[in-house]
Amino acid sequence: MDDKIRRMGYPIAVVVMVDAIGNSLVQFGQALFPAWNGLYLQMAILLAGLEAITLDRVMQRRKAVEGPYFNALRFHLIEWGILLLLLKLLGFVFSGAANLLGQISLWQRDPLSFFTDEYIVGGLLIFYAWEACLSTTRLLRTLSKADPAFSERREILENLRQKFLVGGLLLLMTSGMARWGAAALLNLGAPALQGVIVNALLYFGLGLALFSQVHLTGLSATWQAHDTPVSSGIVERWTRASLIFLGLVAFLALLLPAGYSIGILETIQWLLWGVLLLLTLLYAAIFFVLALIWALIASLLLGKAYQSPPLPPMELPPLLQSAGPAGGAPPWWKILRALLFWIIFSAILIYLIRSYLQDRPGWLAALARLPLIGPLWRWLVQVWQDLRQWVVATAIAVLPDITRKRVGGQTAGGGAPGVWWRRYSPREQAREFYLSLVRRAGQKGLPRFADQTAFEYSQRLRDTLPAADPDLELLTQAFVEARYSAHPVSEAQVGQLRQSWQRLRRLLGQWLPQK
Amino acid sequence: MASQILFLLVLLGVAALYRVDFFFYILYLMSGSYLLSRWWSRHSLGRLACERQHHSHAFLGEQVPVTLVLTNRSALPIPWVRIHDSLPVALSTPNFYSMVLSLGGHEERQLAYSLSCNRRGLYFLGPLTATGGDIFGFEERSLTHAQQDTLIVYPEIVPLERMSLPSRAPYVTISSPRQIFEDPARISGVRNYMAGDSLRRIHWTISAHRGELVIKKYQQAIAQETAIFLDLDQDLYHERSWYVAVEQAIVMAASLANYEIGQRQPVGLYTNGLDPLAAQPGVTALPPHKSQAHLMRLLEILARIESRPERPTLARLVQQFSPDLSWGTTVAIIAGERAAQVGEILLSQQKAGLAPVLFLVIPPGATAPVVAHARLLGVPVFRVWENRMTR
Repeated sequence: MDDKIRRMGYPIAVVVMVDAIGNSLVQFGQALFPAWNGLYLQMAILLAGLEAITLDRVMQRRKAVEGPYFNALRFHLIEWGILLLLLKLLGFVFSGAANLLGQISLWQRDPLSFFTDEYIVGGLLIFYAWEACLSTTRLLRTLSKADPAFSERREILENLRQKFLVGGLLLLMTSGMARWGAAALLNLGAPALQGVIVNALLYFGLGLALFSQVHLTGLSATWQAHDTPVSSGIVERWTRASLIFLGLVAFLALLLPAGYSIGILETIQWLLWGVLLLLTLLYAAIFFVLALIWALIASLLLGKAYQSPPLPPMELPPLLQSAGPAGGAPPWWKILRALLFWIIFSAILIYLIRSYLQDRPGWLAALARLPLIGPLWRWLVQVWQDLRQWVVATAIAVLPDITRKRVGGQTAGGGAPGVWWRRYSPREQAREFYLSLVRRAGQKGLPRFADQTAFEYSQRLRDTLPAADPDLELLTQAFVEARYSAHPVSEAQVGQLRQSWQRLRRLLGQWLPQK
Repeated sequence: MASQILFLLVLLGVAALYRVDFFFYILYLMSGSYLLSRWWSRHSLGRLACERQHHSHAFLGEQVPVTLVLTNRSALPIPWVRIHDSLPVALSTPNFYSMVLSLGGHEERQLAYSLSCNRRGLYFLGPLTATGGDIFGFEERSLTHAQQDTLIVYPEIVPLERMSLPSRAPYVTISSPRQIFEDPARISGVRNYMAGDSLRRIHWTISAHRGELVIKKYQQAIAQETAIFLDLDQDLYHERSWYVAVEQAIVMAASLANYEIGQRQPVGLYTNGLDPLAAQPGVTALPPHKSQAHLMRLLEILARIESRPERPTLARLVQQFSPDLSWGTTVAIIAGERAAQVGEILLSQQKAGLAPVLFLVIPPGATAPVVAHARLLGVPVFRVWENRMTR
């Protein structure tokens, strides 16, 4: 990792991002008070951020020199004083020097008039900006610490991520409010707003790029701490890959419909109409073929002499206009865009809710216990599982080579049931059955911790699932023998293990976490 | 990750509520980064093929180079992957090899490390774990390549001269019925015909040349089959240093086998040790043969064999397999100082027309009653310790 980029680039990126939030807050303020010029506040936020990262470096140097005698509070107090003065000064720079003289005479008469409402709100904002920049810079510096005993790296990354996401939401909400105004926001019939929000684009683009690099910094520090050699060129490749990836995602996002001119109900109506039309065409095509065959048979059986009875004069059937939704057909492009939009919207929503609930097995269990929703939920889960099994079984039957290749080289997981173990030796199977159990138990909220031995983990599972006792013992013992000893593992043993694993899998599937 | 999902859910709500088209763009950007980066890391890591290349057999003291061939079978690059190969502690310190690298699309990389074969045995290399993740740290995945490779390190082979054994002389005293015969394949010279000489021994070419009958003189040879009976019941070795003693017994067996095959004599191995690769855990028997391939097979068994307590007894082993041996076969019994029923075994072997010899693995100064027993029967006894042999 290029140390210079890390030391200089990261804090500056943080300051820019904080300033992007500041910009949206200022825009929001200007939307509330159109006469107010908030440019000075945004400038002050930028300066506060820069000052925070400078202060951090100065404090680091001083701390190294003064050691335990270093007084951080003194530094902070001086810093805040300077920033507050700067805020006042910037206000006057933007409002004019004449105003300053008038204010000075007012302060002499009434010292409290120095602290106006605008000044207090501005002061709080620059304090938060200063604090956000300082704490984030410190977290970034801590993250790059290559110490094997340092275990909070993951927590720091999560903390940084939360800061970034909360800041992003704040930015979007204030930007949205600034564009709409509270009254217009409640008018649901108003058309959607279009246009690029530059500070939001800057914030999220820079944030994602920064996160990619910060993750690399954290990983590099971990590898360094554990003396793991790193092959050369990884930083360049990482940077290149992340930039290309971000560019591609941004381009793909640009292609997707970002608005909907047709509501979801109307889109569903159009979708159903499309399906009906397709079925009608299909029916007509089948009928046409059957009619042709029948005509052929009839001409063969009855001969050429056969004359069909005169048909009544034909009239064209009424067009399928009534099948379409009322209000006339919108152009196909609008329908397609709306359809695509709602599909993407629903897919993201379903995926997120599913992932969110999967991370909280307790909630799922509570949901499954509810009187009406519970049975419905269980039925849906069963239908989903049956569907998955059917798809997998069909795939194996139809495309055995492809499914085998896809399973190849990977460990046992939720993949094709009944297939993966066949490619392993008995010893490997003994190991994989156990590891598969650990994975499944982990998914159900019973993970194996890094400091747990196989037997300790087995005991924990036994406490939770007493019915699994004999099978757990068998599987754990076999795993330990297969992993750590050279004892032979026979096919007969593996057969037993497979049965135990299948029983445990069923037990785990039925198990619901307690409240 | 939970915060990311929550954020996206809230962002979805905010985008729907505010009806600002650009918010949907941000939503797509953030969810696209989240979903695609996870898919990318899963996909490319799943398409990573690992192969371990190395010699499957090595001699003691050798350095075995191992090459890990990593192939990214996907067109997408792998931004980072940490390779961790678990290794036996006897072959490598620390007992793993790890490396972090990145792979381009369809790129192949080779990583090399070496193993120090300082102890005989059957070793399993692996499993190899590849840990990778996306570029934002949303997810980390580990993929275990379950295939374990084996490496067999042959036991030490000590020249019998170095063990103070006169290697040119037979190390057993042959009992009276034993036949010493001449090997017709090895002619040592010629002499004049004497009455009583077999006509088949006449060297016709030289006789014709000299004009008088000449008889071929053959080298005297001993067709000496040797059966090594190796007792690996660890309870019957020196109590405080059974591990060293067992290893010494195995070294003795390997050296003896190597010596015999070097002399082009057939040698067999019978042991009650545990062979981890045997289909049925029991005794291991390799009947006498004198080819080089046979020696390698024998050494391979000696490489992976393990001592265990409560194994089938030596007496049972001898009883089971000695009827199959040819008359006059040398039975080399390698046992520990507490070996049971050795006196009876030696006696029964002598009675059966076999030539027993006892190699007792015992520290210098230690006494074992079996020594006196054997000497009483006239069976040669060798005390073996630290690759030295004394009578």
